[in-house]
Amino acid sequence: MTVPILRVRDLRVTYRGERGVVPAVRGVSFELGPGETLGLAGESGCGKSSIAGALLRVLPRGTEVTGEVLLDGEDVLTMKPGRLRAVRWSEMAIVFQGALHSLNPVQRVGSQIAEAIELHQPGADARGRVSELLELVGLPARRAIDYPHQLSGGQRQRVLIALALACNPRVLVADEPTTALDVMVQAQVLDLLQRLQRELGLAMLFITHDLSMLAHVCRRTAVMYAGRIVEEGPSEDVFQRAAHPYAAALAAAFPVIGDPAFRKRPVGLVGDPPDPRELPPGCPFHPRCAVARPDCDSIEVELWPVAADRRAACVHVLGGPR
Amino acid sequence: MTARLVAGKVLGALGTLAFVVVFNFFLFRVVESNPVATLYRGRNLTDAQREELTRQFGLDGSKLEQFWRYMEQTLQLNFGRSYATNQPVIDEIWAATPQTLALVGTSTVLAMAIGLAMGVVAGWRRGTAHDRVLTGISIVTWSTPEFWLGMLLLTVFAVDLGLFPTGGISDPSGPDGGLGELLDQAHHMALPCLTLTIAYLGEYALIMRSSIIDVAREDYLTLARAKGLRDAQVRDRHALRNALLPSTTLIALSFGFVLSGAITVETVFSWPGLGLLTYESLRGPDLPMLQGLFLLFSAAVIVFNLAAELLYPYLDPRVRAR
Repeated sequence: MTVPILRVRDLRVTYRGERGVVPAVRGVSFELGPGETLGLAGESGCGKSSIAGALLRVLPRGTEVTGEVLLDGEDVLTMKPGRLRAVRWSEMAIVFQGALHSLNPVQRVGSQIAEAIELHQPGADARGRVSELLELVGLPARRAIDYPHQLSGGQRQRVLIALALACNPRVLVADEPTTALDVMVQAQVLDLLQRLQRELGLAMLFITHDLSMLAHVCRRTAVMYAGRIVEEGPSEDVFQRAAHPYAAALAAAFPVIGDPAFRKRPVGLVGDPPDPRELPPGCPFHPRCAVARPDCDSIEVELWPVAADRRAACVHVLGGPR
Repeated sequence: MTARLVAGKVLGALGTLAFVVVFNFFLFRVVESNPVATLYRGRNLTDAQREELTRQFGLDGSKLEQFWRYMEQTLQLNFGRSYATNQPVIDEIWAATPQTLALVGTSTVLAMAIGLAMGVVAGWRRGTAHDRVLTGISIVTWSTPEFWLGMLLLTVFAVDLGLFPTGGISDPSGPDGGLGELLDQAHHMALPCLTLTIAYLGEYALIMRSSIIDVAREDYLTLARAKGLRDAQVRDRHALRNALLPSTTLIALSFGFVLSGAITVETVFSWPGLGLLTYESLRGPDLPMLQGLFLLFSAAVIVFNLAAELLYPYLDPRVRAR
């Protein structure tokens, strides 16, 4: 692996609110090299979006974030405010979820893109760059004068991608960029992101609940459960031959169209994700696990190697009696 | 917004106004009152004189005839004569209007500027000491009866300390004309203006605070922060305008109440405006005067309500589309 551009070490995110202390992310580590793609998958509430917010420190005030987020060797979590503002968007940008709410409803989309350019590249031809960016994401440049509500869901998502690319970041975080879109538009946006990632040589962290999507977009995939990574490896392997029972269940939840193996098999997972305030002891997945052993409620699982480039946090990968 | 929509809204406002005009007639005919007997008590009038005076006040003939005459005169902006002074109502109202516009207009603008700023700061820093102090002040001032506050300020600053005059609009022995007279009037206006400003600002502050709190959770503010904007830029460029939208109607309506807003305070400070005129007419009761005042007050609210509706699409592009 080349020298990573983004290196996350033991990241922990804890929300302190009226509903008590919620440890949403409990020690997550990963690395992303220049031009590499990493997928991060998991159910709602597993902490994956908290990671996106922690990387640029845009989580709500009062949220406790510890660990290290090394961007080119510099820790984002300990940066001074001025340095942090300079790094935001120009080094690392986020493609937010496009459900209408991520764009300011009373500002033209062009000026929302131009604002970022004027902030980080004063003196640049912001208008020309906005037109360029819109065409880059497949929108006519005249769309710049539209307000968000005048665009369709897919067009808004394209605007958010153009916005994320405005200052030529080297790291792109895509936080569920296709969730609110219908299937056809999802595919288009996905193709666009993939194409841009390759053409611009971006390092991309792609966050989604749809594991099947990652198989196409990302070279490597990490699956999260209850605030931790439970399996990581090459996307094809994780999707088709998951070592962790949770990753396997998540993969099975998205059937391959036309594959007879998926047709009759009941898919889905019993039970709900655990409440992060009251995690089960031992492996947090054991109450929902179909292949749990009696000692799963007492073993502290960690990421054990499955193969040369794969790891999973399940006692079964250690072998031994089932 | 299309011309047709504008025309529709204007017609709607005219319809409301027409209803008020008709309603006004019946409202003031419910109270039986004979101004001829009141004004000329103790004088010996001949029957002919009595009939002539009754005719002058428009009280002869059947109720239906009176109604048609009232409608005809109202359309010509003739509101009859005051029972108290026998002067045309319209002249008395015109004479009192500038004083009220000066007093209540100034305090409304001041209260709005201070109150909205307080609300923005309090809401943006929700839960902090700033917020608690500002919200506390807002609630106390909002719930303070304005006439009581006026009497308090009058006692302390005018009577005890002698810093301000106790009432009226000018010093009879003061300078006549020019800057001197203007300064004298401003000196007289200071206390009632302060009273109204304090009495009004709490409402603006509380409404703005809750609007800002609603907006503060929006995703587009997270995106604005992630772009690298300063906290104050996020607030002023993205949060403020969105938060102002729900307050627009209230602000416009409060302008509508400028003319009628200061009945008690004008009375406490003997400020010769519409409020004092209303109070004196109520004591009569001087029905034609009240009728004219009510019509004017209603018209002001209707006009500013219409203004708010016509203005709103310029503030919110989402409404423009419809």
